[in-house]
Amino acid sequence: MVFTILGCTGNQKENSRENDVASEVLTVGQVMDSPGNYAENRITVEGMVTHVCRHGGKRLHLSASGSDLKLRVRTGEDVPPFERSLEGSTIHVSGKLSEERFDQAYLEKLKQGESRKGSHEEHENASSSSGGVSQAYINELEQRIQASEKGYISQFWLTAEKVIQK
Amino acid sequence: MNWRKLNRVLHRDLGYFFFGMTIIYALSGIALNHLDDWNPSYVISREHITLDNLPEKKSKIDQTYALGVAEEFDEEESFKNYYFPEPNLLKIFIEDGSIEVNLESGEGSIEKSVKRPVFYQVNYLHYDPGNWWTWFSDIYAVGLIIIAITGLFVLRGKKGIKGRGAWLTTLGILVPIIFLIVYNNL
Repeated sequence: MVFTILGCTGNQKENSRENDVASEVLTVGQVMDSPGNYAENRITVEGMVTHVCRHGGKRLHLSASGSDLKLRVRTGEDVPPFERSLEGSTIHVSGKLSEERFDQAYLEKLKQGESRKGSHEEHENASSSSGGVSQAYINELEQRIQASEKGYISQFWLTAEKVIQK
Repeated sequence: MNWRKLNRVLHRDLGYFFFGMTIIYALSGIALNHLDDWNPSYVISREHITLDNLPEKKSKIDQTYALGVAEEFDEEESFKNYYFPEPNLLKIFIEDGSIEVNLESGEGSIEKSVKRPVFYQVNYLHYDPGNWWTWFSDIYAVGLIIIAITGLFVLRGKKGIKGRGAWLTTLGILVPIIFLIVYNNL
């Protein structure tokens, strides 16, 4: 059975947006092998939901069976929070892939507690009461930034405009 | 209609209309204040398990093997899929939960979660599920401001805003200011 969790129909703007999404369904592996090729494009990706954010269901991880690759997905405008029961299900997500960069300046803000924006891991590591981030997470991020050739690390996020459960 | 009557009508009717919203945000506010202590949206149960028939090689783990593991714990009907979150960790998704097994020790757990009645729904709404809800909750916020302001002028006399009301209102404003001073954020 195929059903749409969220469909965008009956609206010219939404229809034209759907037309922008490439009809080809990509795998998580295809996207994560060269995410830069798809950045700022609207794509459709098929994958297995391996994690749904416990806090508000606004984020999930999409993986391929037998692989440790994961694509981060967040809810877009008008997409309701993801249900935890999606874990283990195969879904198609259509939306725009965007790159987020974490550099030394971001890290400094994080240390000073100024930045709340960031990765899903940060969100999951955040102390819910304080909104802060664990020192262990900051240290790990710092090591990864220092080890990177570009001086920053990239995270790619697919902002879901449409989600279909297979 | 004089302004006092209009004030009373506004306070009363907005109070009635937004009763449900106030309960939703109050309940979810308490729930989300204590995320470190509990999961307000789900009741989660975890059972320790030990798997004896571990495969010799990880490459031998396939759909059939994963289904067999689910069957061993009477979960074959609810089997959904499997993957390896870490090299030595097998995770099998079942309806409303998962089975995790360490492939070296065979130790693991079955985790199941069910939606916590009422709290799941109020938290869902609190996390802003969509644009229409955002608009309605903005209207509610404006309504709350009106309810608060009109509430100051419902009573006249020594229990009104010129008497007891003034003291309590001032005290209520001072409390958050004291917190801001204590937290060094004023």
